[in-house]
Amino acid sequence: MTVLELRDVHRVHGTGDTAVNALDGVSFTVEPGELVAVMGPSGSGKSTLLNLAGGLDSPTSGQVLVDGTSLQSLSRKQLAAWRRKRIGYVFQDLNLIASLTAAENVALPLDLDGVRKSRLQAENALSEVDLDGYADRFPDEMSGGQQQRVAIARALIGERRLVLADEPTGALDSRTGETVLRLLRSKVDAGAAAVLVTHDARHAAWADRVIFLRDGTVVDVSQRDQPEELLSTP
Amino acid sequence: MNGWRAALRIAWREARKSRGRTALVVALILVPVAALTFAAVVYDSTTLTPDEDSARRMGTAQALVSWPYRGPVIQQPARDFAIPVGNAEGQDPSEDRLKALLPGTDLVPVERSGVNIRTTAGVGRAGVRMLDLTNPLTAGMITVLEGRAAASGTEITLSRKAMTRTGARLGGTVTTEDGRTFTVVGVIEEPDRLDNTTLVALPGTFDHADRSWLVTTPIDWAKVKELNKLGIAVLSRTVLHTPPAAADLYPQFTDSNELGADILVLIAGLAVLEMSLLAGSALAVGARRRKRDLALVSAIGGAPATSAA
Repeated sequence: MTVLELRDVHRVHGTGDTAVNALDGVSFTVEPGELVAVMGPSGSGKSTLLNLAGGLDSPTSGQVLVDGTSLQSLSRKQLAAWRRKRIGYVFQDLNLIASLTAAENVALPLDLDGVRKSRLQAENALSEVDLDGYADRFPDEMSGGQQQRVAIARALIGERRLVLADEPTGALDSRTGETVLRLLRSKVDAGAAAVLVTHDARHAAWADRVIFLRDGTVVDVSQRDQPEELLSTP
Repeated sequence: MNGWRAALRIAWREARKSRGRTALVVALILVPVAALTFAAVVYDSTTLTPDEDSARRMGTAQALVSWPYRGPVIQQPARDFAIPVGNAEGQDPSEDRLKALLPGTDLVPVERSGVNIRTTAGVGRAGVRMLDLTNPLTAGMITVLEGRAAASGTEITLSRKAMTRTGARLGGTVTTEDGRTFTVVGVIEEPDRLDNTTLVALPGTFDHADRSWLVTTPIDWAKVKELNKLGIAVLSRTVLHTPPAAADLYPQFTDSNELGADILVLIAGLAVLEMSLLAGSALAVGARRRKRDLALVSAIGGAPATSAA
């Protein structure tokens, strides 16, 4: 089943003369085992797209479907539950709650859902991102790369199969960034689906497909079997 | 409830981490709560129940009756103060006529006056209450702290302040400015006026400024209004316990009651507003500093109630 689908999505910020078309008729799908990168200049609508895909914002028109369910059909409470169970976020930085340990951060979606033995699942998730022994460390006791790995572990804990990553390597050095992307790629290869917003064509090269946005419109889509296109900006 | 455990864990850790901010938030919440609690306690402590009020004002009697005017009067249910509203064309007040109007009642006089007494510093004014403290009907109106109640026209009891001002002791004497001497047989306390300079003597010991009677028959509001027509004011235990409906009050006093209710509503409204402002500020302090955490929890799937927690 298609994990994420955007159908002719429009998002207008403001009204009247000050109205801005952040997204203007965007449509695409993300399948299980697929990593889709979204590229484009600042203000092209990348973050808006990610917010809509995660149900943090609502489209002015069009539909956003996650696992076949339209997010617009859900109440705020249902939407929150949907995010807990289906959608994982990884931001550029400050992904973790400073007052919680790594394991508590990872277990947070489960705790919010009232899942028992969340600690055990969190430790397993940390182990899968090569962070054995880091469960009781607080974010300020870990490097930026380790923190991003914790965020990815959290994004995929439980039954979550959709990761929305907004410049996840933006605050990391290139080597650490590559490690994080490799981890994300491995999770996708294991069956997850991911949308990666990035400015960097080298990072986009980890994706199966690259969607180029400009002024809220998809101007080009490149496949992984077209590496020369992936590494060139439109 | 699912999110509460996580929310409380975050809140607890943040509270321990930022002790100064936590103290500020706690103070902002506690200050209005403490102020309102204090106000409520003070109000409750100073507001008498009908029974307490009755005991202080009329002892164990059913009513305190005065006859200040020869024409019709009006009064409020809980006050023995009457306002004349017609010509003084009736008969003069008398104890016999009052007995006739209240068949079967006992009348126990209660008088008030004032007198100049010789003090350690010269001459001073003292309030005088004249009632027989040995009569069970007066129980609760005045408390004898030491010694005993006056039993004759030459005996007197004093409040502590009067004792201090006159320099008198139990068994000693007090002399009025005009030279009358009384033996001090007790120390008394007026429940409502702990700091007053007061002498208590038997009725008739001094010229009275006003006179009331404790009566032993119950008087309802209808009877009170009937007596009002003759110039009689009544503070009735029955009426204190069962206040009349607003429609039965004298119209002259209806507005003042409504004004009182309006003031109470205003005070309550201001209290709620004050609490909202301070408690709201407290929450805003926490929410502003933790905006990123709250956004993160929301993105992870925290329900609005979880963020609020």
